[in-house]
Amino acid sequence: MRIERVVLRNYRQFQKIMVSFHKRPDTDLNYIIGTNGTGKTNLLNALNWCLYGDEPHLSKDSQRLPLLNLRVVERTDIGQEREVAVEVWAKTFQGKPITFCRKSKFRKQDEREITHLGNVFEVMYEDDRGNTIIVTDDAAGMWVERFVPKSIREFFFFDGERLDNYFKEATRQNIRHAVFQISQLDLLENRVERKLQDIIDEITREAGRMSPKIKEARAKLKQDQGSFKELETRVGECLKQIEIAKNMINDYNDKLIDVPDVEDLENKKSSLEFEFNNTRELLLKKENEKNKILLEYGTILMLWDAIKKANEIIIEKRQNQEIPPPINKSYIDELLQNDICSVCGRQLDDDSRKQVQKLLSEVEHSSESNNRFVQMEYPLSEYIKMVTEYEDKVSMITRDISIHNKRLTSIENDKNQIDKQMAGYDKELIRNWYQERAKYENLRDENQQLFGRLELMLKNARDELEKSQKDLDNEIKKDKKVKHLYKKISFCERALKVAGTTRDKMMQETRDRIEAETKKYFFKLVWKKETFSNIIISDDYGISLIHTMGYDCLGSVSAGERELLALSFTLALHHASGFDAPIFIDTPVARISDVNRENFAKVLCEVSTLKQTVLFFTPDEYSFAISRYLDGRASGRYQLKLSEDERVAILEEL
Amino acid sequence: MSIGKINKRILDGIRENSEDDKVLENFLIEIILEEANHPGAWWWKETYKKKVDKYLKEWEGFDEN
Repeated sequence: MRIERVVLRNYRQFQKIMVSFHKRPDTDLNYIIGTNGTGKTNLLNALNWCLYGDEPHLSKDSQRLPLLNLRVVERTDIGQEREVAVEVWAKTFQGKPITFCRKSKFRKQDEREITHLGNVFEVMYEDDRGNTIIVTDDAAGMWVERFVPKSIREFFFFDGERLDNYFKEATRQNIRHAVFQISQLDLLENRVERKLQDIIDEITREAGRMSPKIKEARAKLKQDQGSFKELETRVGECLKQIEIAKNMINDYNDKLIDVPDVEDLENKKSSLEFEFNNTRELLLKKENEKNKILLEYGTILMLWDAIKKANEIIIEKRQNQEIPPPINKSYIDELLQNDICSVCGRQLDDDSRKQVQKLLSEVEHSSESNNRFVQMEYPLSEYIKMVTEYEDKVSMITRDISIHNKRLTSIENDKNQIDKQMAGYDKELIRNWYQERAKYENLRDENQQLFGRLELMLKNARDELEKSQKDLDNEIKKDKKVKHLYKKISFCERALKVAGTTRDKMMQETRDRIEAETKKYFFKLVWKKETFSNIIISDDYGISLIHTMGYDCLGSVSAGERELLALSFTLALHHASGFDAPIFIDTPVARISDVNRENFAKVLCEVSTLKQTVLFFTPDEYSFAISRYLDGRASGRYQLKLSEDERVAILEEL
Repeated sequence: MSIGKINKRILDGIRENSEDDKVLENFLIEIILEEANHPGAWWWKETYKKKVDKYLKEWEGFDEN
């Protein structure tokens, strides 16, 4: 369908305005320029109000104002009634006129109060015989649903300010629903299939009343069919998961060719770091031990030469027998005291006494030095032993320190080697690839195991189903009337299956086509040709924009690129689903930088060759970057202004 | 309403998935058109039943062959 013109009477800023959307063979592009407050967005609201009875883009200022134009309110006498009307004049794809018209009546109660008296919504169209038909209420609503269904209007009448959030706001369910609506698949699922099922249920009840045994057999068959179908779905899902996992593993294998396993390397590096810290601790411990020994043996080592010399002297003295065996001084003292020789028992004479006294005196002198030597001998030997031990200890510790130092150097080298291997790679990304591959390997293995189990279950379920079918057939053969009813059921069930298969296949095909078309439009229109490699649309309509590096970058691209993707997706949605409707965009380049505005202007020109495009710009938005492309291309150009009293919008054709 | 108002791919899909069962194909296309022409019609059950009876006669013959 194409909107030919919109007529507004007494609607908000518009007292009486008609906007005709012109078309040329090569383009169907109309634009309206207006400063904020002149009513651009309210033109979009007027379309919504006429078709759906609401105004989704209403500003806070407008929310406070009545629907009825302010000048009209001022010029209306108290008690007088006025009407707001918006008409959308369109043409069907067959070129037949159709008009949507919503009217709302108001009465001015006093200077402050305007009472709403009611709405009328009607659709006027031409039937196959050329007669003009007018329908209202629900019947009129159904025509709107055929034009642009309310649930998907955001794909046709959208706001550039919000387009940036398009993929956030348009939930997957909404998109799926939109595809259903646009492709008319809801007609199959929600009407044809549901009603056929109702008919089947009714005939089944009737047949069941005629033959309880058949009812029983049929219930069993239904149950078995349900189990079989469920298993089939599970097998299908399982195979699909295996296929997805295999494809993903292959993708990641391709990505990971000649790419180091950063996770493994980082684990190795982490182990090396752990070992490095432990070895360093051991080294410090050994160094402390060595220092402790040095401190402990320091004094001995400093006196080592003296100790050695003293020891040599003692050894020499011993060898020369200069160190006599010790004479017992107390024994001599006792001899002198008793005055009797303890050997011969004779009393000591003077000479003997003198001799003994002399000996005592000599013994006293020689014993003192000898005693000192003897006293020194043991500690000196101990010191010598300690120094020998010291050498052994220090030698061992020094060897350990050397081993630790060598290990630390080796670890350091290994770490450097790992760093070199990982240099220049995006570790986070590679780690993610490895993790994802491992995830899909698990998924594949789990599903392969599950598949084996499910296949066996499916075989059993099939046998059970065949048996139930035979039992039912045997029962049905017994009664001719019942046989006829079951023929009906079979026919309806077969029709239901064909409708369901058609719906499923179309849904899948539509998704595939939307994905292919989105890619086609996006890569044709995008200005950064080398940045993106793919667009993936999942079964539940989740959209991923893949960067050439392999990751989903939808969340990080510029507003312009996201808007372009939204536009490409919308065009694909329209084209792939076989539904044609105009696109109205309010402030299409509000979120786009100057550089990309030019690119976007080219895109909008391209779009206008495919479908009716109506754009609403602010003068700031309509910069040279835009006007140089659109001025010559547009089939209709308008400017919106406010009257001097700011009560009424004036539309001028440029 | 003409047949053109139904998404052509639905009609193609019905033809393809009916697997040469012309009776079934025509029955489905007829009720799809009925849905497009009279969405929300309260008399749908009667219409559906009549169409089932009509096409079943042909289908029985088709089936027997």
